[in-house]
Amino acid sequence: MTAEFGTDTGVPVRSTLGGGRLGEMTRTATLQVGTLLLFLGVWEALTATGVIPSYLLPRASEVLAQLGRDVVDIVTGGPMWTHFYTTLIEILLGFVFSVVLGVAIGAALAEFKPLQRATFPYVVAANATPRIAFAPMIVIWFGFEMASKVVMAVAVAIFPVIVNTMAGFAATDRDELRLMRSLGATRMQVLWRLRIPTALPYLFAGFETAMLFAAVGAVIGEFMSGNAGLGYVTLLAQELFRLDDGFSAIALLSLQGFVLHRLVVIARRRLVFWQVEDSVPR
Amino acid sequence: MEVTIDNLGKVYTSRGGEEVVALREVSTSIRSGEFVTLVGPSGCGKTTLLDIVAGLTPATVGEVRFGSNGGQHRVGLVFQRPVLLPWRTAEENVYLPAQVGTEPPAGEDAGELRRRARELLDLVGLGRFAEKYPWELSGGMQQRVAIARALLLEAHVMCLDEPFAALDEFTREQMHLELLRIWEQQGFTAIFVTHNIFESVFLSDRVLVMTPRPGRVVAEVEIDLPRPREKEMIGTDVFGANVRKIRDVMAEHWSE
Repeated sequence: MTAEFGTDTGVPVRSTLGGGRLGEMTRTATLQVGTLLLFLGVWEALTATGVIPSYLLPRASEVLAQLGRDVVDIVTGGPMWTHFYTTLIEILLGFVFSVVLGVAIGAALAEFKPLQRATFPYVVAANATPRIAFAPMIVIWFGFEMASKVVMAVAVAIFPVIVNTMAGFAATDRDELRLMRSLGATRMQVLWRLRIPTALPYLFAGFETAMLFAAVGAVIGEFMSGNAGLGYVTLLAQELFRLDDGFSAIALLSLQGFVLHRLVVIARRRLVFWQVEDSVPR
Repeated sequence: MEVTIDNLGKVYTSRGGEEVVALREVSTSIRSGEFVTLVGPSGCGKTTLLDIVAGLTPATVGEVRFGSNGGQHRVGLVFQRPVLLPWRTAEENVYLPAQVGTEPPAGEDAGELRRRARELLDLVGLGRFAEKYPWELSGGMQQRVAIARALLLEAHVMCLDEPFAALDEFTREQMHLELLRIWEQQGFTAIFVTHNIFESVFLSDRVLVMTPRPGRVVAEVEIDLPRPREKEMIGTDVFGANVRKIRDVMAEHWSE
């Protein structure tokens, strides 16, 4: 099938699933695992020999051992499971609220020009304000429990969604609108058949950033108050001078963020299949 | 379907409040099934004239009449870029006109149009590519899909706004022959816009020469080449004479 199109028609073939592809994936995976081992090896060497004293940086092997104990604890539903689960829920709720509110606000600003004109400088100013500065107030308003963490996550994550939604709804090009008009399309038809699909790649760009930012917001919230979550664990580790605990919690946060971000990327590839592949490596 | 353009004028108000005359006193009548080209430099109002005929923008003065009794008419539109929706396959793009408008067809009519979309892809030589997405097609193929789309609802009049300007020389020549073949088979009235004099001579029955500031038609040149047109005609004396006629008119009315 692919060969038939590729021969004399000059049709660009997007990707071919040949034997070479699998071989390349294996090589890439080998390289990536090698990089990790090299990193851990250098870390271990520097700490084991005392070049970096252990009160500044625990040995890689100790961190890995702690990470192993934490993972077992998570799987068996121990105290680490509560921390892991708490942060996960905070990030997910922060993300969902950011997406729902951000798309609504972004679409409203894009569609109602007077509203946009009246509020845009303040949207830009709010985006330029370090929202982390609101953290103490957010604790006062929303308490020490999960709500204040979710609000913090939304405060950080909503802006990329708003800005990208606005860009997406402004992205429809003039000729496409001329085409729809020449076909007698109604306003709703233009919205559903043209403007929303056009905006989708932009929306997903915002969602990807929002997922990462929601994690930042959740951890900041945990620093501010409460006694649960992986952010709280790193704070506690610092107070108790248990650096291996802290690094293990950071590794778990990293893993969470990586997996959640991947889920958004996978959803984007499915829904926005026509978008040219991003230049950022997988 | 014949198209009568009667004393058409268009005045824009620019941002600074200045009045810009985009089109002045354009009158012509186009026979049913005629191939007419508007040729002229940028800013001469070609696209404005086309947009008025296609109903995309209102005229300031004058009017465009379709047919003898001014009844129902459909205008197909092809742009310089293919303007295909990337989330739709070639066939779905051709079918788009059936899905928008105040009364989209349903049931049997919809099925009929589905079949017609397939047939039109066959007509433009892309039957095998119906399930392909626009980004899997070359520039020339994309523009053929756009032509098929403009034909779906059996347009009586086809407006083509520099449809081949973005294509390479070889593809463009091929597309000229393709377009003429489709035009002869479908029998629509074609209004074609270009700034390429050779293209205008090769395609048309008649060329309207336009000049800018204000945009107006300064001459009509009947092209006396036989149909069907063939590539070999391009080198002939008759072809050259027609090209020269248009160039002379341009030089006379437009010195910049």
